[in-house]
Amino acid sequence: MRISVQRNRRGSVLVLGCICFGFLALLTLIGCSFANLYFVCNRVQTSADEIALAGAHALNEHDQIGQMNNMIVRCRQLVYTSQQDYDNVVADYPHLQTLARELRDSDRQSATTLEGQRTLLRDLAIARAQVAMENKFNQIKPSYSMVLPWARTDMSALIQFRFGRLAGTESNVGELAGVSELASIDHTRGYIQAAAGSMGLSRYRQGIDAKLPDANSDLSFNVSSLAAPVSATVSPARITQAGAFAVVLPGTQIPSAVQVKVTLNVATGIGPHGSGHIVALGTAATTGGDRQL
Amino acid sequence: MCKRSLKMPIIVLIAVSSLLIGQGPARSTDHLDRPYDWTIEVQTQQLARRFDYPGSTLTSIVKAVIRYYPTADEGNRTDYESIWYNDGKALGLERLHGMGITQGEGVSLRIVPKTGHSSQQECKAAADLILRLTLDAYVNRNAMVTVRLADESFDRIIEEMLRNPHITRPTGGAEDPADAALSLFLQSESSDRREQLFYI
Repeated sequence: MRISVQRNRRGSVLVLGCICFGFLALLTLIGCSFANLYFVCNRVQTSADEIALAGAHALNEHDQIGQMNNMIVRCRQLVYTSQQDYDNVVADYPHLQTLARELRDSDRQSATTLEGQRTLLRDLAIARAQVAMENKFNQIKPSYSMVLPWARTDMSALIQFRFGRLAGTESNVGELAGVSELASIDHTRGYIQAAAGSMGLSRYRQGIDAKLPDANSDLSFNVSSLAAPVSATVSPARITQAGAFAVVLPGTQIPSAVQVKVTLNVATGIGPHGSGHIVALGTAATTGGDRQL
Repeated sequence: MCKRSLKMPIIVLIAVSSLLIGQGPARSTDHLDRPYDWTIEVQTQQLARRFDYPGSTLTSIVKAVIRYYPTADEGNRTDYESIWYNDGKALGLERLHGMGITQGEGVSLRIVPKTGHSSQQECKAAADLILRLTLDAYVNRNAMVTVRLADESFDRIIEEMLRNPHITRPTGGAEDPADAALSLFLQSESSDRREQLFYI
């Protein structure tokens, strides 16, 4: 009788040990899954930033936006001075009217050509950035696909990307003060963001159509937002805070920042089935403007 | 008696004549060589890799930097403006100072390529610059006495100017426009080539 009771006690400890071990293993597994989800969240955010950075980089290749901004402002001064010369000639040298009119009309045509090129560049920059972001997304996407008995993840398509600018960033073009009447007009109409402090430079505001007065008010001189160089240092394409992003309306200025939303689908396969999404927002600004032309 | 009285006047005459002969030629050469008080100097340079994107029509950018100085004081240069060109048409301008040339005084325009050799685009720009700066000078009440061009680009610039339907060469006959709006005198730096054109 005593011998049979002792045999039953040894057998129950082994079973209990196995059950406990299994339970611990399960807890460890669940813990690892949650930890993995946490790291995946960070990774998705990093991926969103990388995709946004790829798009931002493609917006201002070879400082094309910076060059365009600079030339638009200088074209405006060209047309203004041509008109001044024409007005002076009509009054004082009528025999030179033909020449003055020829030069002024040529300069007006240049302004029209430049505006056409600006819209071409805008559309090209946006298309280029979209391709860069999609390529980056397609490169990253396969690394997120995971199918395990207890968890499954996969990255869906890019849900959204938007084009805009950084709030508070004006244009990269320094004020042209060499023609005093035009400089006065620029200040009166609010085209200039005054320098902050004694060391800064006044710059043309972003998002303006710096119309000329009177005879040439039909011409457009659209200036876009772009970070200016600081002490000959050009700011690189960089990640920024999502809150600093401001949307640029389609068909207006050339964008200098992008924002992307990336979604990762997550599902569990053990016990009650559950699914959800991890969403990350990436924001990046393009390379700043280089020195003047 | 006669020999003694003539000797002194002859000595005086010889002394005065030698002074006059010594002075005269130097003064007349200065006056002939530089009949203008001011020089407007233009330096042209073709820029690379500007507006380089698919579909761009802004592919031939030339920058012209314009300064002026009193002809007798070449070191006293004042920046006037810069003009950017695309295929011979002005695209942008940045004026740095007003034209501080004394009104009424003569001006010479001098165009030089920065690299020592002008590209065809620089020649096109030069053709426009000649007209544009001549007009500026007139508005400032200065006469453009002469336009000096580099020897290597003289012919090409003239050719570009003649593409303008308003510009013509004199024919030396009665057909020459007496009422031309502008008469332009162009010469090469070495002064061995000269050309007169009219803007009508």
